[in-house]
Amino acid sequence: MLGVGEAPLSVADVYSSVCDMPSAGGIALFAGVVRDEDEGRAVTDLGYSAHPSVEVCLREVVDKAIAGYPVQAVSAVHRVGDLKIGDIAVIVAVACPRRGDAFDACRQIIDQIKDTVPVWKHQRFADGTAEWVGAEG
Amino acid sequence: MTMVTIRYWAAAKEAAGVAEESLDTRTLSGALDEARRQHSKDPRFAAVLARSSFLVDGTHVSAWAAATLTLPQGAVIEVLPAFAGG
Repeated sequence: MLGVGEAPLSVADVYSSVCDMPSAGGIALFAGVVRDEDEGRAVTDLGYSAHPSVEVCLREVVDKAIAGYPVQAVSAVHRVGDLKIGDIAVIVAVACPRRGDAFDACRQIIDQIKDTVPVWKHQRFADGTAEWVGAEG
Repeated sequence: MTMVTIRYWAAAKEAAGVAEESLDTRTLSGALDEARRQHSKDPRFAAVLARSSFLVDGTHVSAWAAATLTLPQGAVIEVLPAFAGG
C-alpha cells in the first residue's frame, strides 16, 4: 500500500499488506498519531493537506529504503483532511528477513516522510489560536 | 515583459491572502523579491518564504540556482512551506 487520502487509516489493513512474505522474519510497523499537546499547548485538532506531487515523493522515499535494505514488503500511507486527537496520521510498515533491517528501514522512511514529502499540518489549539507547524521556524 | 504565476500553498497561501498571483519578473529570486514587497504588511509572509522550497513548472529548484534561473514566459512558481507530515 502506498498513498495519501482522507479515509481513516487501519493498522490491520497495513499489516495485512506486508505480512504475507515467507522470507520475512521481522515486520516493523510505525503509526503516527495526533497528540493532545505541542510544546506545552493543548491541541484540539489538526488539518493535514498535501501538494499534488505527494504520492510521487512518497514513492521516492520508499524506493530509497528498498534500495538500501533487504525489504520484502513495504507500505506507507498518510492521511489528509481534518483529524482529531488519537487519529492515525501516518502508518509505515516494513517486512525484512531480520528485525534490525526492518526497524532501520521503517525509521528511515518515517524520518524522510517528515523531511521531504510535501504534507502540511495546521494545528488548532484549545485557546482558539492556530498555527502551521514549522512554517515560520 | 515576462509574466509568471506564483502559487502559494498552505501557510504561504494564508500569509499571502491569495492562492496565486501574476508577476512581471525574469528570475526566481526576482519573483520572490517582488512577492515579499507586495506582502510586506504581513511579517509572516517573509518568515514562511525563508523556510520554503520552490518548484518551477513542477521541478524543484535549489536555493543557489534561484538567482540565475531565467524564467520562461508563463512559468508557474510554486511556494512550498516547510513540510510537517507524520
